[in-house]
Amino acid sequence: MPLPTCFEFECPVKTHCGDRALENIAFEMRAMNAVKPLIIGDEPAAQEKRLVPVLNAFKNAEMTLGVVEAIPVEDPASVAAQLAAIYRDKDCDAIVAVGQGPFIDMAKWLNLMVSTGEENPDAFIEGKGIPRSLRPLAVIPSATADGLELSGYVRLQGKTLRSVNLMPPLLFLDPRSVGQPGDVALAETGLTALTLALEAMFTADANPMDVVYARTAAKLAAMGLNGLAGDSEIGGPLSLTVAHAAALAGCTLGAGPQPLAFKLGWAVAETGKISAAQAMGVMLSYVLEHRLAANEMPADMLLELLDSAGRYARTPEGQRGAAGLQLLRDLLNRLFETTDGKIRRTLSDSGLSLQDVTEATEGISAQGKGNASGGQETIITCAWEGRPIR
Amino acid sequence: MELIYSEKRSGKSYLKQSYICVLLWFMGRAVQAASRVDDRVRKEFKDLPENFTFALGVMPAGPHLVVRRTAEGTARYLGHRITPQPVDLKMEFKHLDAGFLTFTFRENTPVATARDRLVVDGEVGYACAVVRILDAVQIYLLPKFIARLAVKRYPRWPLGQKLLHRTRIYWRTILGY
Repeated sequence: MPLPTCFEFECPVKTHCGDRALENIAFEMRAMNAVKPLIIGDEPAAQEKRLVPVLNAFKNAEMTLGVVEAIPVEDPASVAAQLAAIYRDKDCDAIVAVGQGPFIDMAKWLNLMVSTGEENPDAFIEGKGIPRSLRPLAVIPSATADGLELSGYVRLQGKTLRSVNLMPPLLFLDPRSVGQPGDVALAETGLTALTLALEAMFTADANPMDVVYARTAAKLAAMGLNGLAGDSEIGGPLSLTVAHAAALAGCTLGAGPQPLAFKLGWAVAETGKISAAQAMGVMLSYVLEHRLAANEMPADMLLELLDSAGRYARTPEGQRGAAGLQLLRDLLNRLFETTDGKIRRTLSDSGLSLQDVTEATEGISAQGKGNASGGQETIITCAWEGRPIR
Repeated sequence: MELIYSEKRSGKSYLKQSYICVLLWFMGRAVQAASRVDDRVRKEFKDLPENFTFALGVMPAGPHLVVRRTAEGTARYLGHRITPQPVDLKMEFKHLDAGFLTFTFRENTPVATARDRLVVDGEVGYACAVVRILDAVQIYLLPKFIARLAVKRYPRWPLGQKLLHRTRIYWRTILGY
């Protein structure tokens, strides 16, 4: 792979993953001079009792824990303001967030609020600097992730903040805390992770460090999705594998620009007929196919990432690129079958008309990161029909 | 919506802590005994600096096993408190459960280290010597089928010598000299 002329890479996330990973949390908190963490959990975490192993992990830690459970995410700005008041009144000095998606965004915003004293996100949007060192924040995500938990993004009521300083410094992935979501939720997390990872890998200006993270995330996501499609055994709990893939994909994204398939997926999801994860899963193969053709980039690595080295070796060199893209589409077809049609193969499967999709994705620029101009229409048409571009 | 805040103390696992406390107490006395009985352990201690003190325990507040190398080149068990004396080498498990895994022989020291459950504060070379000492002591104290779980490689020592040393170490451990 050619080395870019110049690049930057930063990942401040320390990951603890695997059996009894949660037991390290007290040690890590002490290492960051925290003695009274505020442990917050969202509603699904409270229902699935995922806070219990976290609280147990603090046993013998000689700490006082502030706990707020079952936090709703409907109005994140006011909830974050209430939590900030609790944090200050009770003299807490760290945050442990157990949850997923928008809840983690809220936790990151809470951390920014208590670290800077600024309660208005517009101040940061208008140029106020996000400080390098915020208060300690540990994130304990579930396997139902939207891929942005570990990124430097904070989405708050239509506003988006992004900075590498917003990436949580601590991540804990433990089989006890990731939960056991259903096949559809797990597949959606896997598709999001796969989208972020493959988009980061197959760009004209991918930097080598991003590729290391993205490659591992793509491998883990593909392992999880193949396991869900019932085609292969995976070496470990399925939900932990998928949660790890999503976390790595978030680290890969960091505070960089959102990739095209990701943006298109979220835009199509605004129609309410398909989830963002499924929409980006459908879009992914077409975005990649178009970009690789436009940039004359080899797609053969896709085959090795999505399946095994054996299959890669069996396939003639000239067929590997096409086989990789076909494998990506075939993965969706198999997931469609194993989830009784709940994972869509094409955008038309979701009941959307081509016009709906076109309207929903209007205003999203396909430019940049090696996307050729005029490709968006082709991508959307092919993703709607489920037909390869070439 | 009103959020409900509650405050909790982190709690204690008295049973696990008591087990580790007793085990470390016994092991500390056994290290002292082994340094007077076994040539390998004696040699390891002779190679350590005079008054070198090491501690093995659990974060944040113990229990610990504190042992000092004496002027004669043997070991002296100093008790379970780490604070009264300066310690040259601290080996601590990050969490009581991590220590409990190792001290119930479900995970040996190299595996615990590989899984990042152990923190070493001091010279790594001395830490390796201490691990060798602890391995030798565990081989003497434990029956083979358990000791195999506790050490990386079970050594082939002459059976007669092992049984004789084991008896002497047990006696000295119980009597504390």
